Amino acid sequence: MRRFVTLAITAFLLLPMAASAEQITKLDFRNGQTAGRWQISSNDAVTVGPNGLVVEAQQDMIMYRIDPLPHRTDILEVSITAQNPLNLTFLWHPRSVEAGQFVQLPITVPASPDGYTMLLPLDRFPQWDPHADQIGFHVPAGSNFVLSEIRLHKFTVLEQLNEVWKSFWTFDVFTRYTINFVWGPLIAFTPQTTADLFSQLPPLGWSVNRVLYPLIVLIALGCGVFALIRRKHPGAPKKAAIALLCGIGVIWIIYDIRMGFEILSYVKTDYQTYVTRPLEQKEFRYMADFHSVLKRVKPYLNDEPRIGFIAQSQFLLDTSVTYELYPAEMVLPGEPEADDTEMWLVYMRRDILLDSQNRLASVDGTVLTKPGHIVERFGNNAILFSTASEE
Amino acid sequence: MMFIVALIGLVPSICSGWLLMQSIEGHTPVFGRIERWAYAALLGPGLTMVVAFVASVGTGLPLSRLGFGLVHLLVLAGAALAWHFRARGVSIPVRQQVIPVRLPAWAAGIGVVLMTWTAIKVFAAGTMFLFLTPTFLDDTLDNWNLRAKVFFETQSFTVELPRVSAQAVQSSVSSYPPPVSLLKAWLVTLVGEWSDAVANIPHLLWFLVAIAIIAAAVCRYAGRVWGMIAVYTTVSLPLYLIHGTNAYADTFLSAYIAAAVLPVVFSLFEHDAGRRKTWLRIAAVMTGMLIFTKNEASVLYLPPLLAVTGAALWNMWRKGALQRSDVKELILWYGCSFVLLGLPWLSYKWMHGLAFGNAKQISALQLQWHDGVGLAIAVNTFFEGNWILLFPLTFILIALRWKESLRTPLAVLTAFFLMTYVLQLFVFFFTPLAYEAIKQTGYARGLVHLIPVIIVLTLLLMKKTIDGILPEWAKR
Repeated sequence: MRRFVTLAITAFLLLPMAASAEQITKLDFRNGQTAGRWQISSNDAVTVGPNGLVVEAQQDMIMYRIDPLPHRTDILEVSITAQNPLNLTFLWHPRSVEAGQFVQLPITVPASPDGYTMLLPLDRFPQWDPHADQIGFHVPAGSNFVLSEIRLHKFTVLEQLNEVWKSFWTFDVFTRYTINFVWGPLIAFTPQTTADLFSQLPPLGWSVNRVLYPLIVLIALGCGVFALIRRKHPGAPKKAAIALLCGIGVIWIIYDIRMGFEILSYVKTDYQTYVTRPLEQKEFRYMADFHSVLKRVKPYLNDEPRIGFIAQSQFLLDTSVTYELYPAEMVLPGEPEADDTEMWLVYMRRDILLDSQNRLASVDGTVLTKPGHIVERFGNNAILFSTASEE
Repeated sequence: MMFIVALIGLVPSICSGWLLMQSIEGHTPVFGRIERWAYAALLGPGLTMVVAFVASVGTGLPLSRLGFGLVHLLVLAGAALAWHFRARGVSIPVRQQVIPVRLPAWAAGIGVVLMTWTAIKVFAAGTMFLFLTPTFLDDTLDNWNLRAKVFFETQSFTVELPRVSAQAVQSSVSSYPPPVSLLKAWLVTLVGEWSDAVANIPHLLWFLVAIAIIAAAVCRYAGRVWGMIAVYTTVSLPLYLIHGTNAYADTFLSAYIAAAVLPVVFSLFEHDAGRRKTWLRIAAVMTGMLIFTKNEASVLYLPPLLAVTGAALWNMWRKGALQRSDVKELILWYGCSFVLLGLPWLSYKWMHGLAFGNAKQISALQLQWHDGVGLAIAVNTFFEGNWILLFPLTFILIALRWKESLRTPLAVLTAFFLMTYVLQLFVFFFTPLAYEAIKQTGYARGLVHLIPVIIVLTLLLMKKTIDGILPEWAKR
C-alpha cells in the first residue's frame, strides 16, 4: 500500500505542469485572407477587404467554413466591426448530424464602429461538438459588418482540471431561493464558465454529484474486487468495508466543508455589506440599500396610518414595506386609499418627478399624488414625499 | 439586555413542559436528561400558546404582557399540579454507571475538529441570519413575523392581515396554526417594542431542540459516538442548516414530527411494560400537538403517523406486550390530546372557513398528471447541494437492510418516511402544487420536515450494517 502511494505521488509530481498551455488558433480575415474555404449562399454579399471579410447582405444568407476546425475548441471569440446593432446566428455542424443540418445559436452584436469581440462559451451547450467540421453564420437581410477574426480556444486537461477545482470552490450568494434549495458545488471546464457560474438560472456547469456518484461506485467496485481477490485472507473483507466507509466519509466531509464555507461566505458578505457599515451605506444582498432606506424612513412616520410606496415591480419590495413599516399600512398608487395617504416613499424611480404643481408624477405625465413637498432624500435612490402642508 | 429578557420569556413555558413531561412519565421515567428538556421545549411553549389562543379567542384576554403572563402562570400552575399528583417523589434514575468511551487519539481529534466546525456554522449562521440582518425571506415577511407583529400591535388574536381583503383571509396565511407567531409576539411583548432579533429567537431554539432529539434517539440505541455523528450529520446538511438558522417554520415542524414519531419507535424497543406505555403516552401528547403546528401536519403527516401508531399498537397487543386495557387507555390519551391540543384550533378554522391546505383550499385541488415534476424532484434530491449524499444512502440502506427496516421497531420510521414521501410525491405529481416542485419552491421543504426521522433511521441502519467491523469504542 505504501509503495502504491509513493508511486502515485511521484507520477503526479513528474507530470508536465505547464503554467498556461491554452491553445489559441486565429482565423484571421485581414489583409485579404479567408482563413480556409467558405461556402456562401449569396456570393456578392461577401468581399475580402484589408480589415476582414466585408459582409453586406441584401437578403438572408448563410456563410460557413467548410474546413474542419484545426483542433478541439472549447470556446470561440468573434471580432466584428458594425455601424449598427446586428442579430446574427452562429451555426455549427456536429459530426453526428446529417450534412446540411446546423445547430443555431442567436447572438446579438452591439453597434461597434471601433470593433467588438464577442466571446461564445460553447462548452456550456450540450449540443456543441468541440470538433465540429463546419462553423458559420446566418446573416439576416440588411446586415452590414466586417468580420476580422475568429479565435478558437482549446484548454488542456490540466487547465480544465484547474477550472474544475476553481469552480468547485466558487460560491453562490444568499438569494431568494436559498431557503428552498442550494445549487451546491458546480464544476466548469473553462475560465469563462467559472466566471459566470451562477449568473443565470439554472446555473452553468455540472453538479459535482455527477462525478461523485460514479466515484463512489468505483470505490465500491474497487473494494469489492480487493475483497474478492484477497478472500482467503481473513481480514480482507473488513479492510475493504472500512475503505469504502472511509471513502464515503471523506467525500461527505469534503462536501460539508465546501457547503459550510459557502454558508459562511453568506455570513461574511452580510457582515461586510450590512452589519459593519454605517446606516446610510448599508446594502443587503440583492436588495441594495432598500433596508437602509426603510430604517431611515421609520422615524418620519410617527403615527401615520398609511405610507404610499412607489417603486419598480420587484420581488419582495412591496412585502418588505408592508412588514417593516406596519402598523402603517402600505398603499400603492391608484388604490382607493391613495387619496388619503400623506406620506409617500419613492424608491429607485428616476422617472418620477415633481411636476409644476409639486405633485409626484411619472415622465409620461401620470399624476400619482396630491401636491406636496420632499421631506427627505435618502441617497440617490429614494425620497420621502409628503402631501401634508409644510410647517 | 433585550436578549436576556427574551430568553427569560422562554424559561417559564419550558419549565412547564418539563413538569408536564415528568407528569406524563409518571412513575416510569424514560427520558435522558437533555432529551427531557428538548421535548419539554416543544411541549411547554406549544401548550402555552394553545392556552393563549383559547384564552384570547374565548375570553378576549388581551395578548399583552399581562395577558401572556397570566397564561404562562396558569400553565405553569397546571403543570406543577400535574407533577404533584403524578410525579412527585419519583426519582429520576441516575444514569447507570457508564463506562467512559476512550477514543483513540486520531478519532478524538477528528471528533473535536468536526464538532468545532459544527458549532462555528451554527453560531455564525444563526447569529447573522436570525439576529443581525433584516427580515428577508418571503414566508417570514408575509406570515410568521408579520402575523406576530399584528398580534403584538393589536394585542389580540386576529386573522386580519394588512393588505389582505376579508374575502381572501380564509385562504391566506391566517389559515396556518398560530403558535409560531404567538410565541414571537409574547417575546417581543416582553421587551416592549418590535425587534426582529427577539422575534427570531425561537427558531434557533427549535433547531437546537431538533438536533438534541435526533442525537438522543441515535445515542439511545447506537451509543454516544453515534450520537455525536448524528449531531454532525444533521448540521452538515446544507438546507437543514439554512432552515435552522433562518426564520422559517419547517425546522420547527420537523422537531414536532420527530417528537411524535420517535416515542412510538422507542415503545417498540422496550421490554418493560411500564416504560412502553410511558413512551406511548408521550407520543399521544406530541401527536396532539402536531395539529397546532402547521397545516401540513394535519393533512400530510398526521394520517401516516396515526396509521403507523395504530399498527404498532395492534402489533404490541397481538404479541401480548400491551393488554386490552392498556390499549384503551392509550386511545383515551390520544383522544384527549386531540381534543385538548388540536380541537380548539380545528374548531376555530371550521367556524371561520379557514383553508386546510397549503394556504389553499384542499377542495380546490384538481387531480391531473403534471410533466416535468419527476425531473425536478430527481435533480433536487440527488443533484443539488441540499442533502449531500443522505438520500442515496437512506434508500440503499433501507433496501440492503430491508429486514431491519421492515421487521424491527425501525419499521415505524421506515413506514412513516415512505408513506409521507409517497404522499408528497402524489401531491406534486397530481395537483396544481406541481408548480412548487418544478420551480423548486416547495418540494425540498417537505423533506426538511422529515430530516430528523430520516437521519435517525439512516444512522441506526448504518450502524447495524457495519457493526461487525466497528471497533469497540465506536459501538458505545
